[in-house]
Amino acid sequence: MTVQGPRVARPPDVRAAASPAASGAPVLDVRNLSVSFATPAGPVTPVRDISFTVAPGQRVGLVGESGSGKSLTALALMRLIHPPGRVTGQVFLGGTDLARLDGRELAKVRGGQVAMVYQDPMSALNPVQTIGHQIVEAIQIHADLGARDARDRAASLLADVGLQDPLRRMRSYPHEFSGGMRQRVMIAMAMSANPALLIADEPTTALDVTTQALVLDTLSRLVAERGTAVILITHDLGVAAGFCDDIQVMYAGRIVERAPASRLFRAPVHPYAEALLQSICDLDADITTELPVIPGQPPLPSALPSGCAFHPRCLYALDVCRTTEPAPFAVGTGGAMAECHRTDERIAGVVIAPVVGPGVR
Amino acid sequence: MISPGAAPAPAGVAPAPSDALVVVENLVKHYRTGRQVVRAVDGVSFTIGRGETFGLVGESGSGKSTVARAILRLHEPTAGRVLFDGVDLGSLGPHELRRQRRLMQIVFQDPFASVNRRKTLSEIIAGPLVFQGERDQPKIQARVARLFDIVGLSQAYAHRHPHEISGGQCQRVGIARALALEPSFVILDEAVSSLDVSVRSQILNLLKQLQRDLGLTYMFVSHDLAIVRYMASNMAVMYAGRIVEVGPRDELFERPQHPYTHALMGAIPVPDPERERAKTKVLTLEAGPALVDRGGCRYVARCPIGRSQEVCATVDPPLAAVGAGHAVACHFPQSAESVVAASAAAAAAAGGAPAAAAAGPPATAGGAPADHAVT
Amino acid sequence: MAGTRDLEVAGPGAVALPGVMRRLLRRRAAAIVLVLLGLLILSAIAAPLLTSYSPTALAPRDRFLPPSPAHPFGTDELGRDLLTRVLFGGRIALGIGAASTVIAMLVGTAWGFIAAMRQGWTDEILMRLADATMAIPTILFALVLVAAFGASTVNLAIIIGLLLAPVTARLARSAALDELKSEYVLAAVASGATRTRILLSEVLPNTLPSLLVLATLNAASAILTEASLSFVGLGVQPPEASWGTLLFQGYQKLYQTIWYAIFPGVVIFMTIWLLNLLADQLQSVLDPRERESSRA
Repeated sequence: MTVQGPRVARPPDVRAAASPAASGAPVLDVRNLSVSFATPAGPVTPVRDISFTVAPGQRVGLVGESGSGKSLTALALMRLIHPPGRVTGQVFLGGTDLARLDGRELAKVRGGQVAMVYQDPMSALNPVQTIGHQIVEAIQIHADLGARDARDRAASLLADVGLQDPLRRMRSYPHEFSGGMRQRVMIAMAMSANPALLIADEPTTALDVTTQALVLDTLSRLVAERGTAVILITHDLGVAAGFCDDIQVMYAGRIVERAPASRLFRAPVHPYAEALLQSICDLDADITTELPVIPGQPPLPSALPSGCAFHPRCLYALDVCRTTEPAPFAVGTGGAMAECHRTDERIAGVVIAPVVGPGVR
Repeated sequence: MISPGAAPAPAGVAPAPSDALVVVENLVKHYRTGRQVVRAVDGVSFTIGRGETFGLVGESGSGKSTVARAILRLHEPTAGRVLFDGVDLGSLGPHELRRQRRLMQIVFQDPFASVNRRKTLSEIIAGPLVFQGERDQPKIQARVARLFDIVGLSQAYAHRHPHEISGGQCQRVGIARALALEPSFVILDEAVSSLDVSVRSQILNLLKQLQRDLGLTYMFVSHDLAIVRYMASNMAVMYAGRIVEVGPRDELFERPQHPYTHALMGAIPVPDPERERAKTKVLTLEAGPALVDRGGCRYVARCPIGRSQEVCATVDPPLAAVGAGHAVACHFPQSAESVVAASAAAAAAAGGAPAAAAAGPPATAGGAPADHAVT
Repeated sequence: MAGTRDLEVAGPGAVALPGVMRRLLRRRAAAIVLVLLGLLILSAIAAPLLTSYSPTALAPRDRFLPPSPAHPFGTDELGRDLLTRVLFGGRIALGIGAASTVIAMLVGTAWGFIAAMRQGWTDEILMRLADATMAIPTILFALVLVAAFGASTVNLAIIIGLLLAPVTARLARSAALDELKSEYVLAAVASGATRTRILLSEVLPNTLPSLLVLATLNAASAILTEASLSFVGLGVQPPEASWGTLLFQGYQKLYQTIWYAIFPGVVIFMTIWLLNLLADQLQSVLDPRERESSRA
């Protein structure tokens, strides 16, 4: 039985600061990334011109709800979007523009320098092959190891992710494992080639909350040991808070706020981030009053509002918000930003009175 | 359940008959798959008072959804009794049961899967009325229109189909449908778990408001302790088909006793990095290879306290009172600190021989509040 | 534990018949197939208008003429215009095909749905009955029934319909079982719906796509079966002739003229081929769209 101890607070200096420049060349440099689909009703752009960087060892959270485009972003980074989807923009991984690589080179990069962990381990694992076979295969793709060495490496990886008796467990099939264990196997496979960047797309959403805690702990320890940068995609702000150094909040295909995790949760700048945090029903919610609510629902990528995509639901919307899309406004000097016309007011601490807006359903 | 302030009594003892709307006695649901029997629900008892919200908390495999469906006889219970307003549901014939269904309804987790995508929203909401034999079209239309209003949906949506609306709106349709027959009892089976975070609060507010306006009694089934805390007045925690802890909400959150309850509370991610990292999370042990069931506590394989205790492995703990209306099924009910200590000791022993620190009966029910990131 | 689905990006899902037509017609292949089938059916219905000859008028002097402007398909052994015979034969072939498909669908669907709904012993008995019926070779079975009840057009339609019903029942049953697992069926039960009501108002509309495809395939089988029966003399009796009969005659007279056999054969082939193509197109239009829209 694997045993986990109480979680220890991480030393504050180990992680990279919000500024990628502080840690040298970024592992990932995304510029003007867009994903669009041609539909009978016209082109739809679920990811609209986003840019960000990830420093070595940095943990970035990509947080958003339905229609925010966060999962598509992950797929676009790995160049896993196929026609009728179109990806534009540049993705530099360790200096190389991924768009310039051909199929074979991309295959080497995927799993080698950048690996991905998915939400549903059952669909990512081959049900008719043993776990051991799949991990060994993953190892041998990216490392020139013989069968015996690969197997040993696999066993040590499985031990790293907390699987007891790895050599025996390797002979099992995916369906013989619980959800949490399968996800650990996925993590082991993803980390087998020591990638510089790990993209985890809702890795614990399908797991029980107690299992989620265990798996996130394992992941945290593993990436800390190896200095892997992580992009964690999730809709759960609590998960992001516990795991990430910096958080990027996505809404309607754009990154509307980027901030260090500690600052974001204390003082969000973008009205959506603020409203989202307030509307979460957590253990401190006041049970005697109504929960704060964001009226309306997230917009469909095919029917985006004019100007700022959040304006119909925003308490502070002005006329300019209806007509013009906000550009990123810097917040402080560390690379944090918010895409809101009223950023300056909010940073200055000016108390903005909510504008009584339409109660959209 | 046992009303707060009543004298401490073992769980399962019903309050005065006029208070109780739903009484569940020793509910059992077993599934037979080939030669194996899956004991999805294994002897669950509780009482739901009129007008209250009873929270049923558990993770996957706990049996909470099975309890919900067995109560309504959507799946026939293997054993046990369910009394609804004094009526033994198991004794009803098919025709009487269909009539009885007017009074007890359910809202499902996945709003899109629980509606017929070929029907219009109007038709979906009118469904229960039609199924119960209502033929008067104008009457049906009027009721449907009223229901649209009650749940906050615009009448313009009447002729749309489910795929044309959002998840939150579709769940409102589910709620409207559940209310169509004017039930007194509604089960909410993970009703907000599939919704976006920002939409969840809308629906939770709506549910609370409806409860006030229509005098509904709720059973709120969820894995999310925070939401259950917001909605429920009494609650029960389930694990592997059994209730492991039950009692008034405040009591449970301030003085949780069962190691699994501690684990659940500790595991909830808090959207605040400082508190999240400072929080001492009581983790459960990894569920290892299935141990031989020696008739003991279901949680023993994952329990940092019980895994080294012989009694936990061999004797199934009954629900026993530990406070006002508060009962726990555990041989060694714990305060948070002792569970943390036991976890740490277990970690130190690194899965080898039973940790010395965990030997002997640890501290029993304490009055010290849990030091999780709670109120 | 469920996470947040991407609930917002829902696609087209409603499958009303007009919608299906529209989607079908958007595909070039399907449009062509539909047009051709439409022409076939129309020509059968409008047979008397399309030809000045009578299908039964004898003109022995013009036997076995090859195709010509006066006789586009040539003539048969009694001098009758073959085109006319084929057109009128089409009436019978398509008529019996349609009628037997309807019978097969009605009987088979009811059979399968009842088995799916009731489960247990009823299900077992009904399905073993279906298995038993399917185990009997089609032609032999038909032979016995025709011998017993005679080979009138009506009887043929009924017999062929009953021959196709067991397969239909199996497929209808599995489609129904799928639907019965859905949560909205559970919701209907929770609202007090009776079993019949659930079948009619929840299961049937959602299985309509598969049933439609099945009906198309059944039609193809029915036409082929009728043609086969007529070919061996168990089908329509002279002077009426369906395509199968004509094919038989043509086969017998192969040494006198090849044209006699070709046209009926080609027509049978075309009809069945078009129906199968249509079934294929329907399948593509109805199923992947469904899957896409529910997973979107």
